[in-house]
Amino acid sequence: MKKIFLLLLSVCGGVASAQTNAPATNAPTRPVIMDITSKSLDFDQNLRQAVYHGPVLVTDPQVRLTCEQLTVTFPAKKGRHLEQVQAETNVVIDYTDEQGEKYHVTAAKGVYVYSMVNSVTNETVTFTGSPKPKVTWGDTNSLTGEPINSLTGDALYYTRVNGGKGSFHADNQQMHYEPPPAGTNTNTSPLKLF
Amino acid sequence: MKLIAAKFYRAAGAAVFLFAAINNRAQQPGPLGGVKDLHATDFTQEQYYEQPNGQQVKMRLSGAAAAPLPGGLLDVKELKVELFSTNGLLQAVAQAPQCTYAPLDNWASSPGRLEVWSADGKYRIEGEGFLLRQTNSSLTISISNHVHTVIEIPADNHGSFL
Repeated sequence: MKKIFLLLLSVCGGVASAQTNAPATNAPTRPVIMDITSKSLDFDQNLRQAVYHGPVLVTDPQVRLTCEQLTVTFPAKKGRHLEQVQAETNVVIDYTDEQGEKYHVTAAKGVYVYSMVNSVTNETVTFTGSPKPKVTWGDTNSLTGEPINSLTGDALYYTRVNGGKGSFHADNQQMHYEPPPAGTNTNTSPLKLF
Repeated sequence: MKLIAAKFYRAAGAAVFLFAAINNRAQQPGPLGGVKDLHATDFTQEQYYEQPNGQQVKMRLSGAAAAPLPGGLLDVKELKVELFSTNGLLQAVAQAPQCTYAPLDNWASSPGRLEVWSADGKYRIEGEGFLLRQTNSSLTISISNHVHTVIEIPADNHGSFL
């Protein structure tokens, strides 16, 4: 979704020179192409906001995201990182990491927030709503927000600091983790790090 | 209030100029002699930033041809809207093969196709059925159907699932 923000930043008047912690190399790298399809779009320059109305489908080589509404809020100052993106209603994310492992996230709502404090970047995605948010990976592993009541689930969080590996967690964890068969030598952690 | 009045007169002036151009063409014999040609061609209208950037063009609207419609509207062919920053750099371009344009109310609309792209070419949005509206302080774009966005992301910014 961070990538989506880049686009919308451009609409607002400047292409975001996004923060990156990747080491500098001389070799030119091919850009990644992201596709977004939606039924409709409303953009407001004054509100610094673009709203894609569903069904919304976001695809790139690593991500497939679907939802009914995607709202992107641009930063006030040109060139800054996007500050907030919100996916709403039937949010489904399929993500394949650099190691080829696949993750599946479902939630009613997902809110991405970016901030920088003392040169440290923080990215948080908070998944909430009903049905309760859930992430699964591999064949048997899952992490779910514990329901507070019958209508809403507790939040499920994804956090990422300084562009490093991100991780999922929940305040009241309800995690299903099935260890590998006996005799398998593995260091797989039940708390999956992305 | 002065600013609003100034904006109104500026828009009205542009509209009058545009209508005058169309009417002047209408007075002239068309290519077939007695047939009147009601079209203006290759017209441009510019909108400026408020002070202190009052000399900078904020938006330039142009078209290959315009014909008057009832209610002070114009039927514009090959609409092109260019948006500029306060330092004069082109930010984005919107283009449509045809639309209805309201010069006094500053909106353009069509059931047809609209394409919007950034000046650096890193994003492109297209869709069918649109309304562009320019108010005193803001531009809004609504696209009704089949919205398709293509974004070019630097590879070193790729890797997070969101």
